Amino acid sequence: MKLKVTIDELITDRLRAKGVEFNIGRVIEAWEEDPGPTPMPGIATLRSWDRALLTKYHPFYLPFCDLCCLCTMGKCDLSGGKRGACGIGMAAQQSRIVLLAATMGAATHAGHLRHLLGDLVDRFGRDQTLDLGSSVLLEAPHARLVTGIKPKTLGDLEEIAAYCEEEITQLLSCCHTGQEGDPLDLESKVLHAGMIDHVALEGSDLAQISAYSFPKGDAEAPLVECGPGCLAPGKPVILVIGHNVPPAIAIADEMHERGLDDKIEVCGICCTALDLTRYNARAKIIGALSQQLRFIRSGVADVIVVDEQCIRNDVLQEAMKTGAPLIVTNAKNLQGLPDRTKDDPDGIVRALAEGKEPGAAILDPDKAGEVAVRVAMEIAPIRKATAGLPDRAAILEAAKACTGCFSCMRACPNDREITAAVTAAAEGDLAPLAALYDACIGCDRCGGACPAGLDPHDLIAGAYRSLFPAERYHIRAGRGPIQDTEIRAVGGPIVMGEIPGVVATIGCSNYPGSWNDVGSMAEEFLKRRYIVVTSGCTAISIGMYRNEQGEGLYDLYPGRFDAGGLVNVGSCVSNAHISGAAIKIANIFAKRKLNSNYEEIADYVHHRVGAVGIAWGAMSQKAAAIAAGFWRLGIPVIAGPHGAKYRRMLLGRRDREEDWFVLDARSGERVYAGPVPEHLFTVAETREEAMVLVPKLCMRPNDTVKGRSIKLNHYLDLHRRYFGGMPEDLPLLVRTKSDIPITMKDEVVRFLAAAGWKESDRPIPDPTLLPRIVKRGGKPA
Amino acid sequence: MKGEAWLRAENPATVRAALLEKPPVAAKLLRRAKSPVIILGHEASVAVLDAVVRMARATGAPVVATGGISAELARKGFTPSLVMSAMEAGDRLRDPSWEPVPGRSPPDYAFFLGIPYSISSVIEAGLASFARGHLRMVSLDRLFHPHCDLSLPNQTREEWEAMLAAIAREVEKG
Amino acid sequence: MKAEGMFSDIPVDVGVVYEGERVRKEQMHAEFGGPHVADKYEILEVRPPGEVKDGEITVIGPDIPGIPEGSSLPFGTEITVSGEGLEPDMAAVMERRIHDFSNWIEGYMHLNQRDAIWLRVDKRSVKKGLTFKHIGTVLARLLKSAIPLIGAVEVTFITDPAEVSRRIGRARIVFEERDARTRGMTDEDVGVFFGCTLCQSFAPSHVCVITPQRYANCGAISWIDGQAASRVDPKGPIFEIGKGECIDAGTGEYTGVNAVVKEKSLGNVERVQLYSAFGYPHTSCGCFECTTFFVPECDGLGIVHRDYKGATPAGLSFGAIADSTAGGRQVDGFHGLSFEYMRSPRFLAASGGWRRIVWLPSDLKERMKGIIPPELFDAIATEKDVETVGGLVEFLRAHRHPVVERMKAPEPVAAVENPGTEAPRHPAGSQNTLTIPGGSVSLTLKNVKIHAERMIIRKKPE
Ligand code: SF4
Ligand code: SF4
Ligand code: SF4
Repeated sequence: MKLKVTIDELITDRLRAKGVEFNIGRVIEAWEEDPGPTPMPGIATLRSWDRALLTKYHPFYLPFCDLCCLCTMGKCDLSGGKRGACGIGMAAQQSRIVLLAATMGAATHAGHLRHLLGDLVDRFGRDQTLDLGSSVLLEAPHARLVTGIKPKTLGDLEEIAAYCEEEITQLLSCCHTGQEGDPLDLESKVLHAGMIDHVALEGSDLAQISAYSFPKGDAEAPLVECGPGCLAPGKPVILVIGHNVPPAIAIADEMHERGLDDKIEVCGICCTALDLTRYNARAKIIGALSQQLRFIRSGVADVIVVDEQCIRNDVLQEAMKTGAPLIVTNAKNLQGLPDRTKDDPDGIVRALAEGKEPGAAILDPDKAGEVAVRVAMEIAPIRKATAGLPDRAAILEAAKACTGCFSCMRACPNDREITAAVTAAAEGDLAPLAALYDACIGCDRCGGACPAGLDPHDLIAGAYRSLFPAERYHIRAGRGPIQDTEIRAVGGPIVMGEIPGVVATIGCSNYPGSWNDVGSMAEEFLKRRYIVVTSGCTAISIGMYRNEQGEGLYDLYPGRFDAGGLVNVGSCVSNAHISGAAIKIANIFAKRKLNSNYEEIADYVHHRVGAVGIAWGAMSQKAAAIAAGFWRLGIPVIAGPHGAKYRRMLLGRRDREEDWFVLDARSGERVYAGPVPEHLFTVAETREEAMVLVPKLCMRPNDTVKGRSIKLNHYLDLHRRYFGGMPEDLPLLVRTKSDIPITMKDEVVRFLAAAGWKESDRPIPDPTLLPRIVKRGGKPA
Repeated sequence: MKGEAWLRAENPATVRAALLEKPPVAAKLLRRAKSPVIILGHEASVAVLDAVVRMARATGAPVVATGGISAELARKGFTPSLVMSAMEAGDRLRDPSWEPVPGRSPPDYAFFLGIPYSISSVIEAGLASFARGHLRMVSLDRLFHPHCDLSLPNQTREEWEAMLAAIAREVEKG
Repeated sequence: MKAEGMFSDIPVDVGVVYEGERVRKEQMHAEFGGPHVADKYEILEVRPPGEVKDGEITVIGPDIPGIPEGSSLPFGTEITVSGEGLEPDMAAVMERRIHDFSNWIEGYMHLNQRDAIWLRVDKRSVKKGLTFKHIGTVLARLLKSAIPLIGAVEVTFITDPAEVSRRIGRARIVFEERDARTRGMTDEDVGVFFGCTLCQSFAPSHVCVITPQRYANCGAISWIDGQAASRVDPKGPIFEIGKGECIDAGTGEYTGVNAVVKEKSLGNVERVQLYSAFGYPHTSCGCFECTTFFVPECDGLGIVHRDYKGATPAGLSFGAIADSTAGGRQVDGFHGLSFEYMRSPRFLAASGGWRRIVWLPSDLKERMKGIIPPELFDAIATEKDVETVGGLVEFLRAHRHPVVERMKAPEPVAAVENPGTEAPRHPAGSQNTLTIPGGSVSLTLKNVKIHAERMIIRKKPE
């Protein structure tokens, strides 16, 4: 809310005012907590906190491209220390691109928030209250922390959106030629983008949970069906893809109103699917993003409805091949289709069902829902897919044309052994092709590259297709936020280190190998009684994993936010609940003030909350923004190998003692706290490497003796299992003899003695990087 | 195709690695380097490991094992000098004062192999910019790495294994 | 996977990774104890040195390989330990470690303790050759490794049903004696209390004072545990507190406690009255099992616990109340506590004890049956009886609860002073207010533009 008061003339006995204008930029309603030092921080407000992090975690730049081609003085070759025409160097250029990516990501989420609010305010009104149920009183940890606003209604979220938009504009402007050129200042802005991103994420999920009554922190949210095998044959199929759920919900409502609940299968890919199942547990999830092209090409869908983000740009061409009309529902992604939002639904239905038009843009969710349902009913009995995945005979025949030129492999981002598999198919063996299925990200670059006109992507999917019916899994519908009482119960064990960590396996499905890797990683840490949190495409992939006994993890592990719990928070926007849980620990549990108090909370989380993110298949700019939001809170993130293409890591150097000092808030002394957590952002080369990193990155300077020994136990065990022997950095992680895990005492003591380790004689500090946190009595050195 | 990036879309800047096709030349680089270091990733096959162990033993070059390959090396009875991730190794290599083995001078030559292309190519691109004053990079990988100073060509697995065995033999000749 | 190092002679792996492992029925080779078997127990006792044969593992009855698949057997585990500095009082603390240690053995599942134990062994581990001899060896090594004071450990497993039922009686007597000793002990019986600062990592001014009659807030540490812990790990977060002089036995205030609390809270807390909920109550960290809340309308205290999902008559959930309680502060009427403390005869003695308690969740009330003085039992309301403060007051009157005497005429419900509820909003004002000076000064503003970046509307503090 802004306020402007103009006084033309006012005369009282003590005051004469003429032509006075009062302008108040922002009117904020106070809540129980007084505002802290940084309400609505601008792009440089938290710079000193960022610097504190960045002096421990040094950017290591990885030019994914040596050139800069952003302005017309270029292209410029920046390699080998050269500077561009504008004076920019390689380091700044890389962080500029990181900033661009993170800002795009944040803009996409803020744009999504704005769009969602538009739809929801239209439908429910600005005064619709935000309600996360009685177990979640701390509804918006990010908004409270960053903006100082405690949102109560949809209208309050508009104000939060406005703040995000302003910051994003400022951030984007920093990417312009001749703006910020210092790599560390650019990095600080990346972190700012991340923080803003989580505010936007939180707003979006808050709005949709409240408006649509999604599960409200419900640990027992229903199990829903997942996988291409879960579709009942013979029914019309509507496929939804994207991230903005209102059109998909309108479809479900329309089906219900028309009594078609059992007559149509509505299914989805990616986050719209996840969010739809939070509304209607009958809806089905086909799979993660990597399933998009192959499922469209399978020709199963009768109508395809897309909204925004991560939708294949060739979706219209692909839909046309199968004869399925495409309905686009979002102004951000119109696909060149005519805008028929204002047209009579009968006419649109006719045009689409009769195949006169390949698709339509319908920007009103309700109308899109109505049209989708009606078209599905009409078209299903008559639609003839002109294309589909090849059957066995067609594959055998096509494969004969392969010349063994390797062009497909040189196009494949995952370096799959395509050529050998196609050659084998030419000899009658489809197994090698089918075996590529779960490690193929479905990009179809191979198809574009083959000079013989083959499409290996289709051959792979076709070879696998006979196995589709078995692809039936369970996934727990996204539960949304973590309950305040759960936080209270696990706050102690987490902060003291007795729950060895919170592992957030999140992000897209650009996996370097089989999608089962994320499931097996989740299982490893569930068995070890970590809290495993998940969201987005990764949450789906975890559902599509079966363990040695053939069981699914969602069936096996409870949805509680507790040791050994597998917590699906929901879609991409639900990631805010994961970082939000860390913030809540600081507030609910430790009573640190939230209101506009970012630095102190981040400082708390960084030193105490043993959480780590694994974004094994992170692909998008949104993922970059989400990761950056974790970084600014001091929470480390591990990406899969493709994550190296994000262009820079934030790495600690355990061998540099001077990097690892903290202030002890009790005494004000600077004390060595060890290299924990060692990195803020890194990639792992293999699943095994990631698994060894997790327990290490869950260590915190604040760990109690018991906590550290538990964390070390997992670290040593995984290290021994996957790397062999004792880790070289062990002497840096064991503080006193009591830290040593008792199951390995003898070996560890021997190893430490050989390494010349000395027991620390200091108590465990009350760690902080902020001099102002030092308590009464202590003086910061 | 030999001396082009394996990935079609890979786009190095104005300099591209010289093609290293002759085992004796590669061996000479290893032997002549003042302080070589070998960064070995998990894609190395058993035959490749054999060759690397032989090279390391013959030259005394420290081996940094990444991605869990240390477990395979242990099975061969070989203990790498360091176990760390490829990223950590890359980060340290850009520091001109880093000593992989305490007391030994900082590396002047880094030999990379077996690390997934998506990671190693960007590390090499980074070091080409940020370590160019003190480090030369040689790729002994199966694929051509344009950001290094020198690189083996794109090869099949069999060719690669044979090539490394040949280099190891040359190195051992002294 | 085969263990290395410390357990290389054991056919299965040992490590925390197996802690969460469950042996399901289909995978199970045999089951010991559990709900289908009457006799089962597990006990650890401290013996004088010389009476414990270190490393000796005995199995009375068949060992695992001799037990047919699908069996469900009575079971006993007896462990004796000795060592310099070990005292009989420390046995219970060490006994509780058997649970963790057993679960760290691959394919060996352990639930509960004492005479409620339930164990299962996995077929796969049996196939690898796991026996009770091995299990005993692992337990003995882990106990020694975890508790350096232990010099010798001897383990006996009993799978012979007759022998189990012959021995279980003695174990039960020992359990009984231990409980009686713990329950019977008073603050006056001991010379020292114990303090715990583990929770300072999130509530920096919090210090738990643990006495025989006041369990730690988290419910995890009794006086006896405190004693054991402070001896086992003298550098750890649990330490001895000299009682000093007793200032007031009724409220539970001691000079020694005040001095230590002041020092450890860095001066934030200067006095503590252990048995009071008002004035100088014991601080509350954040991991308390229950918390009291003050109901001003009847001058009584309600208690709510962590798992209670509904609202209290004050309209607030556990979470909202806990917010007013936590953080290492002293807040009148809002007081974190453990279930065990409610069983203490000194439970909130200085504030009226059970006579001051007006509301409990029904399951908690059921749990405290036998503890709550019988004459009060029906007078304490639960969520099944009342939903609002008004209803509560009526209920208390109807049931002649002792607080009724203190109550004055009924006050209008609107005047409730509840933490966290909305107070009337104060009209707009800003942080640095512009006041027009008084006296004869007058002010003229002409063509001025005043821009305030933000204006914060705040409630006027009551
Ligand atoms: S579609 Fe699959 S196989 Fe083809 S290039 Fe993409 S990832 Fe590789
Ligand atoms: S690109 Fe085509 S012809 Fe060449 S190997 Fe691949 S499938 Fe065969
Ligand atoms: S609540 Fe328990 S852990 Fe916390 S300080 Fe008290 S005794 Fe220690």
